Amino acid sequence: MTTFAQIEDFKQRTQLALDRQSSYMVKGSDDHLDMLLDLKGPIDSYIETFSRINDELLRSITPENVHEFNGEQINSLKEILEYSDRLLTYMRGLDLHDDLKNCYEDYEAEVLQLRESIMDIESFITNSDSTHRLNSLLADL
Amino acid sequence: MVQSTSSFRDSLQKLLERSQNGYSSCAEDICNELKGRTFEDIWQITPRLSGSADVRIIKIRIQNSQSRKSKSAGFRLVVVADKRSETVVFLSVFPKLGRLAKNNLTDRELESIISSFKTERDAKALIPHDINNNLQQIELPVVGESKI
Repeated sequence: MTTFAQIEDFKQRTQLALDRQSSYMVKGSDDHLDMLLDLKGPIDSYIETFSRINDELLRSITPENVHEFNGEQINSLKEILEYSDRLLTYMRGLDLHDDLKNCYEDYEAEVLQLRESIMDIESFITNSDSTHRLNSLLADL
Repeated sequence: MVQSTSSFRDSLQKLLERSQNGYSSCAEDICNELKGRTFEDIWQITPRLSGSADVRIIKIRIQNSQSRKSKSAGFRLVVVADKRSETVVFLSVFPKLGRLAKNNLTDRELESIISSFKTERDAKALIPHDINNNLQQIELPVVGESKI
């Protein structure tokens, strides 16, 4: 199970990346490309961590384990998603070269995965009519 | 044994229709992901969307070999695994990126494909597939038909 500390740590990392975005570069400046390339290493490492968090989340999404997620953890996941969406919007506006375009796409894929996992977790823990209908369908199989 | 419902075959057909959409490797990618895996391996895959002691609804992440990206950016194959018969039935497949991308199945869509599965299973209308041969449909002998 992904620990709360891991999620919190990753949330802070995402927030930091978002806070720093305005100081990264002025688009069109001479230093633009150099700075973008300098960013590739940290972005790759960030995406790797994101992917690891996603993998651990996926392992936790089972009827037996999912109730271990508490409201605070789910809110933190949603905050990561919100920061990540803002970072994606920011990156979309940059003049990205091929290497960084790949970074952007890899990052987008992890953000999509997180969004999907949050939906799966929430659909488990909300006691909606739909969940009841699904459970009764499964009981019949 | 691997079988499919008509909703899976429709969703796969849609993905394979136009090669320019970038999904034409989908059937092959599904085979590559599942080939060599035992029923028990598949039974343990997460995330599990629902389930009981005998039946689980599992979402399998499949890498799209055409895009060379991670599984997060690939396909999602939704299956029902039945421990009593050790059968895996494909219910639906969708891509995460590109023109036909979906973020997830809604609860209503999930209910609908499980309902169709139940109807087709009871009517013995599920189609078996060869996982070692690009999901080729396996023709079942008609009852009473003699084979040489």
